[in-house]
Amino acid sequence: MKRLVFLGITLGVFCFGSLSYAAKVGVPAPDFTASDSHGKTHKLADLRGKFVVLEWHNKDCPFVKSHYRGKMQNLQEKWVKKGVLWFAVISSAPRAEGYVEATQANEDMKKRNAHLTAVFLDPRGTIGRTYDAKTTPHMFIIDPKGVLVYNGAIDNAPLTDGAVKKTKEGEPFVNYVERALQELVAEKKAKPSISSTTPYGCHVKYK
Amino acid sequence: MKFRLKPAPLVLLLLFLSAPFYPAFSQGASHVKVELLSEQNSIQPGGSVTVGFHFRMQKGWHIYWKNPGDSGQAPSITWTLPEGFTAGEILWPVPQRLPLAHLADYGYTNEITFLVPIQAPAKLIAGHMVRLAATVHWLVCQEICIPGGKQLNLRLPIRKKAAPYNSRYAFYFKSARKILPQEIPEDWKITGSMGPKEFHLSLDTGAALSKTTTAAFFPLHGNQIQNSANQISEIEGNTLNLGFKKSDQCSPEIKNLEGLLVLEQKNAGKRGYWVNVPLNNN
Repeated sequence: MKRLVFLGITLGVFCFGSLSYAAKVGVPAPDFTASDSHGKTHKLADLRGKFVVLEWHNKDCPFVKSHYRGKMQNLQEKWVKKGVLWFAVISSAPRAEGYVEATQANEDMKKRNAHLTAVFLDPRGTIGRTYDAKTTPHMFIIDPKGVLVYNGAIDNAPLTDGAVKKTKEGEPFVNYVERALQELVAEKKAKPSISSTTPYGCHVKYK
Repeated sequence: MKFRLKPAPLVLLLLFLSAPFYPAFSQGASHVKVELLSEQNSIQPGGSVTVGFHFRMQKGWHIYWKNPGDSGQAPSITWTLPEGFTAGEILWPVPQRLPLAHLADYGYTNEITFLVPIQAPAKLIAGHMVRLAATVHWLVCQEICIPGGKQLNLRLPIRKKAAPYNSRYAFYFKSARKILPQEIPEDWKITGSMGPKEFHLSLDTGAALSKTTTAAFFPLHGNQIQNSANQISEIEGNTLNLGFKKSDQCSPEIKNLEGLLVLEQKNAGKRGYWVNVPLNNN
């Protein structure tokens, strides 16, 4: 009986104490309205009919830097050309690492030759918290019906120092986002073979 | 003139007082100092030694546990050892939960020693020296994260006699062993269950848990529990009940929870136990 009471109490705390709207694979992705670095407003619900990639971004995070030596830009270019909408989301709070004003965001992305549809500025962390974005880079893919189909890491090779990226011993390298887009966009599968992984990287610098 | 020089001794005194704590940090912005230490002064043919990677972080900075939690990266070691020598896995000490906004990481602050057992081959010539070389990589974070790496060497003489302990580093090894996780005692019974949003662990130790004040679970794998959510523990008699929230990303096919069950005892600090608990549906 006592155990049942304990279960009841914890269940109550978890269910009512923390309402969660976080993005869940297999169900419609939470809607949001975002302002981009050119002052344009985007509403997720208006983007139906296209695949949407959300890439949580912090230009000074070493994990992000290691991807922006060319790999990330190539991946963006390849899929944006095929009609995918690819957005970088910056949820760093003002004065925190990675926070940028619109002009600087545009300059940075131009300098690094990023192939993005737009950069979403989210200094209050509203979109970040809605999606429970944990790290930079934390990646999400939303299908043309608005369903979240991928939530997780960009690949299975976290950074080990400034230069070397490594997978776990014996594990072949997989870029999860590239594989998912290949399966979804090119092979027209309904779901990617891997739809959920643990994101890695720097924590998102929320307020 | 005399008056203007007066503050100098004070500054020197302050420098002197602060110097012994973080002598290396002034030389660069690495925020962490790493040393490779040996518990023993020598190594025996066919014997083993324990080495320790001692990390000292600048105040406010942290490094990570094997599962770093919501962000970060565990340190890694790559060994270059003489023929026949083998290095074991890092013996991960019990971590702390480090909250960051609405997220949480698992790691270590201030200082920590990672112990690694090294096994020597039987065929070794006494009197020779061996060189154990390691490249260690880490990520150290505060508000920002900085990756670091260092090559470290240890030279040990081969001696026929059992290796004597190095008293100079005994404190570090003793402190490290104090917070090493243990295997769960055989007569303890632990069961696990899950509901749609939460996990429960129930531990029966067969003896009163009167000294234990709180408990916490640290998952070995990501995407299973919501790292930042409060864990609720209830202790009564021999039984401990622990409840914590599932991650939104947790696979519905999850069969067991693997990780550290950490019991905090009055005046005795934390004790961690490795558990791998099969889960029943509630």
